[in-house]
Amino acid sequence: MGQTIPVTVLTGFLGSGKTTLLNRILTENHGQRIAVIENEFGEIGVDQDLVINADEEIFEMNNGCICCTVRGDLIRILGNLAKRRDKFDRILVETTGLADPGPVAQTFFVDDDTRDSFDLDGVITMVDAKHAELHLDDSEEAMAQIAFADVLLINKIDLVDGDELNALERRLRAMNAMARIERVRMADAPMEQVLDVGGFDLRRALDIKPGFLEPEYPFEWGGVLHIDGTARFRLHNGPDPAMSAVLEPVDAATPEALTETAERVFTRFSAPDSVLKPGAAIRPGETHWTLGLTGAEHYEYMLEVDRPGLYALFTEHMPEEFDAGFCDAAGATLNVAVEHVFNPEHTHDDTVQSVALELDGEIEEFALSAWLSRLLQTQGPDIFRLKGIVALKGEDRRFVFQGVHMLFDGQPGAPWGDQRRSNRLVFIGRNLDEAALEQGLRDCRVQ
Amino acid sequence: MNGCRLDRWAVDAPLTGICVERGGRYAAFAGGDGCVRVVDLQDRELALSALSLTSGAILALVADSRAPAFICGADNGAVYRVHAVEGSRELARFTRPWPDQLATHPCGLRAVSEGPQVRVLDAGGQTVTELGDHPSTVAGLASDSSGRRLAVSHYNGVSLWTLDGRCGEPHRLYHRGSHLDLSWRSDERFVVTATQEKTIHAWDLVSGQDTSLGPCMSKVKSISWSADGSWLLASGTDTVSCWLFSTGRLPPAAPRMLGRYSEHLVARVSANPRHALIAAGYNDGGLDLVSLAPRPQRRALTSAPGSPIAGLAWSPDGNCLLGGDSDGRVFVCRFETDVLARLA
Repeated sequence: MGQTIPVTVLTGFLGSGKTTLLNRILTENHGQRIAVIENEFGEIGVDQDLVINADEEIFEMNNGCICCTVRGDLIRILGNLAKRRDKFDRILVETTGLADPGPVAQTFFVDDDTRDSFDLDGVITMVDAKHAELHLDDSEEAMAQIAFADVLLINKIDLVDGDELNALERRLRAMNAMARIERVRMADAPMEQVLDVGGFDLRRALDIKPGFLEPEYPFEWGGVLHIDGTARFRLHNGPDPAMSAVLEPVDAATPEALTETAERVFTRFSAPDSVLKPGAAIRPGETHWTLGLTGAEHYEYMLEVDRPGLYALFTEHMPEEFDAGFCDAAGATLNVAVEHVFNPEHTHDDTVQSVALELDGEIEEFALSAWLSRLLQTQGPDIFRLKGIVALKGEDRRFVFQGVHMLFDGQPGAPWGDQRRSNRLVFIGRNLDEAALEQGLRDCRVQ
Repeated sequence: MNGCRLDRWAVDAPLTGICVERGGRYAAFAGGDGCVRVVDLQDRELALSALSLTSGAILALVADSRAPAFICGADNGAVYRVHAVEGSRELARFTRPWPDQLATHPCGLRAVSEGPQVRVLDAGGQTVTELGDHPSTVAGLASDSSGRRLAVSHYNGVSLWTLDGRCGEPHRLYHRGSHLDLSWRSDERFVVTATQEKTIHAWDLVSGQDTSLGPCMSKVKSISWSADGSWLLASGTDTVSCWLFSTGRLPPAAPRMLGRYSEHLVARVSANPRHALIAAGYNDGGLDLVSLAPRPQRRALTSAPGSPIAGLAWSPDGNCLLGGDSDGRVFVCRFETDVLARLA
């Protein structure tokens, strides 16, 4: 048997740019011969490549595994491609927009013939920057595509502004902490970002570094104002009878300066607050102010500074929720020079999320295997992907493993050497109970 | 082994098909290099003559309904007829991937899969009848002994088509899951399939019963019936699995396990058409002859190490065994009269 051939899976909703990326890969001068398995007839492919159009055939496996489906067409086509003397260097599988990548991934776990000749290199999911939020709100498949991804390519970033993009990235990150996220315009991702990802290669799994989320801000909004001694902050009734706010000098009316200032005042929101009544003054300083916003139709607070200049005001809620505005002492409208929406999407309660566990100490092999098998049996349908590197008792080498729904695959990895032995697991799934997972892992620890 | 002459060639392309034409004189090897190599078994000095049909791979090869010829399907979508002497011609070309399931019968039947359809072709390659849509891409095709019925395996079972010129509905044999290779017992009583779940599924067309056998240790790549039809033989385990089907009841008793026992599984089996003998090819390239007698004998024809055996076939008279492995080492083994009878 010769070497195995890497298979890259391209998913993404209709219009997200899968075909553009596919064309880029095929036409780029990388010297590889590529076979493409796609589902819609496309006018692509260069001379040396092969484009195969096939219908996605989802087969259930009768192996007692309630969610185990495989791609029958893939087994057959890959089986036939493996027969060629003149082998391809790489296979690309493009799924239909609405496809759940689960069956594709499971095919590589379940079918021995496929495993013998091919390696699943990675799942690349194209995300349409403009329409992704919409898709994620109403499509299980879109969520599954995010959850399964090794690489998330946010495409068409030129069609949205920076805040929208940051919000989308945060949302994706919360769902899938394992994937690498890249931003591209016309699906113009460098080939090294999408090929040879090694997403399912346990031999390459040396460490698990889930992408930690940028901190959640205790304020939703920040804006830079030029305050000449006194300004007025006018508000109406909103969703909350009170709102926290902080005022702080800022170096420049730029987004960077605003973000820097945001980091500086971050902790101030958890300091003891000073409660203000309408008409009172918000001043710069170490305090965070709580503005009373109840009992009237509209409210006015003063922004008072000793030295005229640029100041950033951070508010717990979006000003427009309170129909708020600013004016100077004389009553002329004061424009916000720069504003930024911080963590605006914290209202998304996506059912798909990532849980990362880290635990020191050594793990009892038997306990781990019993725990994981119970977990996958009961929650497998909700677990899209699982990766782990653990230190088993008495083993010099790491034990690395991965799972896709109810399927599991593990092997000894690189030796620990001088490195600190620790245990890291990442789950990407629906309805994950972080505390229970953590306890489950804790219970596997050598006492 | 004494009493046989073994000729070998290295063709440097995975073996993808192997068979002897209906006249019994010519054998052919199909390769992953797009070639069909034909050999005249009556020549004392065997010589392979290669016909290059495509730059891709030949995916399947069977004896044509008329001797001395073969038909084969390739991954360019073409179906070729390869005449042992007169060369090849393209019979038909399909758009859906790929014509990898073929079945023929001396009555003139030529059936080829195209996705979920089966096309019955005439001698000129024109589609006479289209059978389908099946619930999935066709994964196995086999004609019964009389050539009147065609069995088609697919997801969730088998469809039995009666080829009487009327386009009726097929008789459906239902069983959940993906059914692959397919075989009739020669008396047309049993239809068996190898499944994605590493089992074999058997239907008794007389009693209407069906049963699952196994699971085996890997997917079953070849199934075969002993010459008298009493044993169903299968690859996929570390020995040849032999189920006794002569009792007329399903399920059969636990299988006899014959052949060499090692960590390398049986990759291919082929029953001798005359004698109670099986050829077994293993994943390490090893090759055995095993008798089905109550006290079985085993003779190693070639030994390991090598690549997994990818095909085995007997000539109709049972005196000649052909085979090859996934790296393209192919062989013809001609047995002297009586050698096989004594072994059986």
